[in-house]
Order: sequence, then C-alpha cells, then structure tokens
Amino acid sequence: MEVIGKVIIDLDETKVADLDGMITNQNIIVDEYLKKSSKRLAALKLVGLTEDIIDRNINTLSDTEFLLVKLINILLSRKQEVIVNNYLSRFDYQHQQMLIRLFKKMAHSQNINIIISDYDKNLLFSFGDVILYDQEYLTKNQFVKILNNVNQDLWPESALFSAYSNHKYQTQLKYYLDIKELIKGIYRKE
Amino acid sequence: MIKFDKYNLIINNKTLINNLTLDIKKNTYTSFVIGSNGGKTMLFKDLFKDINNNVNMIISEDASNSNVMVPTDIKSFYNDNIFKKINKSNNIDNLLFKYHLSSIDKDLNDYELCKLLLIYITITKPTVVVLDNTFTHRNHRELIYLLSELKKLQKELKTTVLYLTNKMSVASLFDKIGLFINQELIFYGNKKLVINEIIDNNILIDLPFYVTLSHHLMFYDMIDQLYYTNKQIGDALWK
Repeated sequence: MEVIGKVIIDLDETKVADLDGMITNQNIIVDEYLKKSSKRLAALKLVGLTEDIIDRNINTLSDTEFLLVKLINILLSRKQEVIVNNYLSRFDYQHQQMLIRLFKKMAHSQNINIIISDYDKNLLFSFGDVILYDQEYLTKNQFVKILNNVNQDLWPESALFSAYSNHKYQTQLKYYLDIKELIKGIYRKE
Repeated sequence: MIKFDKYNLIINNKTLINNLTLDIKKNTYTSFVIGSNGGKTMLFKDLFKDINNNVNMIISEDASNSNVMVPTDIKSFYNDNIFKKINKSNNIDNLLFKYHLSSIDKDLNDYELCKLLLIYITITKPTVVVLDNTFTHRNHRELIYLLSELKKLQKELKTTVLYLTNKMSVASLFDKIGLFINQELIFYGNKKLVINEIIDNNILIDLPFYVTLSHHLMFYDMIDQLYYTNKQIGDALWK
C-alpha cells in the first residue's frame, strides 16, 4: 500500500520520535530554540500561543507551553514525515482536538505522513487513517480482521467491549475501532 | 485534612486558580481535573513545599511528616533514601512477588517504578498521598491495575489520596472528583454527581468510555440511564 499524506497509527512503536511528551529543562530563550525563524510567529498562533512567549526562557514554560513549542520546532523544520510518540495524551481534551485538527491538516493538505503512537488507543483510532502493524500498512478494515491475533493492550475500548459482550452474554458483536461505529453496531445488532 | 481557604495560584501575572475554598476529608480517594496550562503542576508544587508557610492551604500537622508526593515523571521521585527504605522492609520479598518485580533499582521501567511506588506506600503508610498525573501515561490495562491497587491501599491504610490530572477519563476512576474550568472549581463531589453535571451542562471533556457509550445508547432508547461499568451496560442491554 502506498502511504502518502496520511495519519498513520503506529502500533509497532519502533521508530525514533521527532516529537514526544518528554519534558526537559533547557536554559535557552524560546526565540533561540526556534532559531528565530521568520515563520515562528505564525506557527505560535497556529497552536494557540501568544507572541510574548518568544522572549521567555524554556525553563519558565509550563509543561503544556513547552510541548507546544516543541511542536512548533517540528513544524518549522518542514519534515516530510513526522514521528510523534506519546505526545497527544499529555494534553487535555481541548488541546487534543486542536492538535488532531492540525495533524490531519498537515497530512492531508501538505502530504506529510504523521506517524503517531500513544498510550491512549481510543484517541489514536478515532482519527488515524492507516495502521502500521507488524511492519505492514493496513486499512482499518484489514486491521479489524486480524484483531484476534493482536495483543489486547493495542485494542481500543470499543473492540474490548465487543469481546467482553461476546464472551459474557454470548452476543455476536463485530469488533469496532471507534465508539461511534460500536454504537451503530449495537443498535443494528451486528 | 487538606484545606484550601480562598487560595489563589498566580503565575506570570496570570491567575490559574481563583479563590478556592475546599476541605478535603480524611481517608478519601479524590482526583482533581485541571486542564492543560491550568496550573496543575504548580498546584502540585505548592502542595509539595512547606505547607505550613502557606496560610491559605493547610495539610493538617499530624500528616506533615508522612506525606508522599509524586511528580509526573516517576523517575525523579526516587533517590537512594527511598530505595534504602524499601530495601529495609521485612516484608519486601512478598511485596516484590505481589507486584511481579525482581529488583529495586533506578533501571526499572516507568511501569515497574509505578508498582514500586505502591510498595513504598505500603511500607511507609503515609497519611496523604498526592500524585501529579503519575499513572496517567500508561496503557489502559496498566492504568486500571495501578489505580485499583492504589484504591485498595487507600482503604487498607486509611490514607487520603489526591490525584491531579488533565483527564476526566482518569479522574472517573476515583470516588470523588473536582473539576476546574476557567480557573474555578465548578464541580466537586462524588463521581456520578460530577459526571451527570458535565453531561447536563454540555461540557466538552474526555468522558470515560462507558459513560460516552451509555449516554449515546440512551439517545437510541436502548438503555434508560447512565452506567458506570461495562458490566452494567452489558446487563442493561442483554440480561
């Protein structure tokens, strides 16, 4: 499968991250960290930060501000593939939704592959386009078909609910990767 | 036990927590949900420093010598003294066996260090345990395991547990929840009460899976109320 301009759910987690949720203390001004790029102010706005942050030392930023500045650094580096590891789950719901919109836009409008892994599998399966599992790219339909052979730690809760119901109540629910599909499945009794 | 009286948290001239008055009772298992950039870690640091100097926030004196305060980065909690204390315990072999750990050292992975923290709490029997999102960044199975073990310890040791997080889905695993929005504590009470308030007031937040599922199934007239476990939903649908 040719994969260009997609948000890829990386279940293998073997790649080295460009962007992760680690917080590190650095004694450097944000403007220098961003190499005084001419596009830095536009990028700050894109992630909801204000201009005054560029004069602050990285050490004085909150965890959230620091993680967003790390993202700006990646945005400004204009990579064709960005590997994001355990980053999204560091944020609250509102920030997550903003970042998901941004990642989707980067992938779909600029043909960048966003390869993303996270502890929160519900979140990943709610917006990823393609799944990287066992070094193969799979569509969601292809992945659901092999789900029984996949470690349950990698399942979203919607699929775990089907498995639980089928085991406990002898229902015959299909496995779904997204809660909205599960709800329709329960309604249609599939 | 932990009392806030008109407490304000102001960082860089920005008010992050405004006029908080709250009394957290002894032996409770409580989580506070504070959004990203909402001062959660600063609140944690305020709790961590010498509480007696801060007249607006008091942890009762009988608790002050035996608090366990753990930051988000679990590795930074450990030092040689803590490892020594754990090693000295008479019961350490049983505890290591219970949590499937084979050693006590800095090289354990983050999940193992979280389990070692449960051992440390068992040994030191703290009066107050405050965690800053410490278990949140684990996979679902590990998170459920760690929080259910913490809950058992809380009951057994009659400890007060306070967990700060930016995730409602994690807070819903606690008995009591406090939800901060726009610098104010808007809801505080038992889990079901707070979840119902969130739904009634259409607050956009990450609700736990079973709540989202049962809430949507109510729209389809398939169940008639919110449920708080997968078993309850399954029973309502198919029993």
